[in-house]
Amino acid sequence: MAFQLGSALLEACVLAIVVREDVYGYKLTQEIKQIIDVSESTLYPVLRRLQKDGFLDTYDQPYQGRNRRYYTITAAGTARFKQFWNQWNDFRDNVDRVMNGRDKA
Amino acid sequence: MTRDRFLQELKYRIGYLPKEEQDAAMAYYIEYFEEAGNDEAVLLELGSPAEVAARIISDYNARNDSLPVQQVQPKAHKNLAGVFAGILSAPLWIPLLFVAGILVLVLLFVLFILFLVLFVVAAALLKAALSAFLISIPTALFGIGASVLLFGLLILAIYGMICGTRALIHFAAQRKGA
Repeated sequence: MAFQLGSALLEACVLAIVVREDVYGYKLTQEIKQIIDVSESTLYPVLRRLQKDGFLDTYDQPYQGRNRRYYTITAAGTARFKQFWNQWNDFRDNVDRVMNGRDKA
Repeated sequence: MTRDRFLQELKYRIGYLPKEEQDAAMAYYIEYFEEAGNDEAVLLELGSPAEVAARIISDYNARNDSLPVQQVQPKAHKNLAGVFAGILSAPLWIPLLFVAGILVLVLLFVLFILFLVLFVVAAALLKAALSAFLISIPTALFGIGASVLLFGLLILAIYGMICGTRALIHFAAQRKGA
């Protein structure tokens, strides 16, 4: 794809998934990869960053004799997602407008 | 490359990060292999351990560089103060102070000798000029003039030195007070 995928968009997509349900790392990356073409080594740092910024939290749950680390959204994460959501909507509307040759609203 | 070798090399390459960062990354990738269940596909997808490690490290650095931006200045200041404190408290400082003190004393002594010589020359000139009155009045007048000029220069030099020292002490006191 010609369009660059910035880290903000990647963070927004991760938050969009986790805001709906708690999810473990592998499943999360598989879901992200269905939306955008991104390598696994790019995703881990994003998760870590969101966690360190206090937008995501983790907890372990036993699964088949080992642990699955689940990611869950924090209150700050929900607020951040809303912020991303609003900005994305504005951005998309503006790009749509110019792409479709419509006048400014 | 096998899963174990990949994880081993990854662990080695992120070894300088804090323990918590290492553990989190290792747990994540171990779990990833477990979940995927197909080591070959995962290895192919992940690329080399060096690349994966580089991403982890660069993200860690980016996270930790952005935070201390405001802290860098005071820290540097503190360090500078620490360096001065170190110099002052080091045994090196004592001989340095000793040498500086000796240098000042030597300078004062040299100046004192210089003034003394000037004074002696001026006095001798005056005495010679006074006794030359009987032989040649112009010579005597010239001698008196020259000796008075020397005395004047001497007084000016001593006065200048006193003023200079006073200004230096005043300046040093002001710096200390600030």
